[in-house]
Amino acid sequence: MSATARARVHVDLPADELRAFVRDPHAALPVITGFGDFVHHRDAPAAGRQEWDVIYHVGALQLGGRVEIDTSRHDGIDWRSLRGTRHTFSLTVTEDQGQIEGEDDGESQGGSVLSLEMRLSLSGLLMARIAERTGAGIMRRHLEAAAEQLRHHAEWCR
Amino acid sequence: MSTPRTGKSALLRPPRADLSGRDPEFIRAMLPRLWLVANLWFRAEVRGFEKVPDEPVLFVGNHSGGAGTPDTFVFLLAYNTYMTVEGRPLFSLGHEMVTSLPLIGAFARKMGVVTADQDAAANVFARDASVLVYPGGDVEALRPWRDRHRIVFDGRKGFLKLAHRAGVKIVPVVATGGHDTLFVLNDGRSTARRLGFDRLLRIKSVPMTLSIPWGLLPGGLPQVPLPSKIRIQLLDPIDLRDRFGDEPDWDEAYEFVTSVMQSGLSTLAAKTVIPVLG
Repeated sequence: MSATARARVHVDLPADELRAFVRDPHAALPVITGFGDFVHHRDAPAAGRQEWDVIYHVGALQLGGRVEIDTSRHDGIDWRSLRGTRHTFSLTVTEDQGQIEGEDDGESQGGSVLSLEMRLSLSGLLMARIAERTGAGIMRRHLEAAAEQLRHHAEWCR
Repeated sequence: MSTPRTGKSALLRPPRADLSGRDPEFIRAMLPRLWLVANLWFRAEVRGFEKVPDEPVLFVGNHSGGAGTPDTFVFLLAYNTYMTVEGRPLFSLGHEMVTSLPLIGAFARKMGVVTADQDAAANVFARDASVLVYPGGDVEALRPWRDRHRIVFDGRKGFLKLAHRAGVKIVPVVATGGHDTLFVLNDGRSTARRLGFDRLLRIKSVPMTLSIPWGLLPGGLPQVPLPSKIRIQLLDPIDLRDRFGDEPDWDEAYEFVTSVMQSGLSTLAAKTVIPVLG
């Protein structure tokens, strides 16, 4: 079983500039401090891949483990867990075509949209389902925080 | 609570923005019982007072919880506890609806709440005191529950001009949990306009709310708050003159301050495990 959480935010920055920022884990990951701690482990043998140790501050526990980050995508990054909490994560930058509702009446604003998605997999049946549903809410709030931190840094702090 | 006003309501006769209404002895007497409520009912956490410079500042907060605004009183408690009752006073600029209410209005005024007014704020700074404002006012305090982790200042920039003119730093204050003390079901701005509440009472939002003891109610009356966990975080001070110069682009300054606060609020919200419970 798995639970998926998503967050997205409009960023007042051309998509190409934002992509250049978020596709560099050494630049982007230290910004999302509320999300977790990130430590570079090594560059993986495959081109465009890096191994990082991640620790998520989720509720009363720290979750995480070692992940392999794929930076070869042109519009963002993905990672998958190698050990520890089984999960995947993706961060994608697209042109803003007015897809964020509630901001500027959904009309095109220019700039870009930063989308984050995390999928968590737990073993078990009923208890795993309850834990996943609870975890999905926590994950969504963490993703929203990460998205806002990246947006603020990209717009004002570079 | 609201940003300094520029107009007056047609019906309300709010008390004059008299700074002498703040009663330090009353505040001192209230601190223990407020502390008990804050700790036992709201399990309050307030962090970041070490960031506040030893000079008058403009605290700028996000407003939550409808007419109850429990996080405001938690912040007033925390300020007067950590920064001392005898030390630099803190005055909170409030909506005239709050300062006009019987009992609650008198209590609020003794705690340092004054009717929002540009002159009142200038007088506070002239007395070497600090000011707490909620630019979003009733619009933010009654924003839909789904937007509880959004900064909603409704484009109001008066607080920026106030801080810039007075030469004081802005200390952003973000809070979560206050908006879990009742449930606001929709955005009530269009309803307020249609009913003329804006003109008559300076109330800009009349949403449907679900609260104790009122149940389903249009608008917000002071409610018995649900025991949600309240977290408050003070962020790094912002010096508008240092960052934006003597003649700021107010739109840019507004975007910057709200961006800082949105990032801080979302980060604080990520500490929530389960809404209401904390």
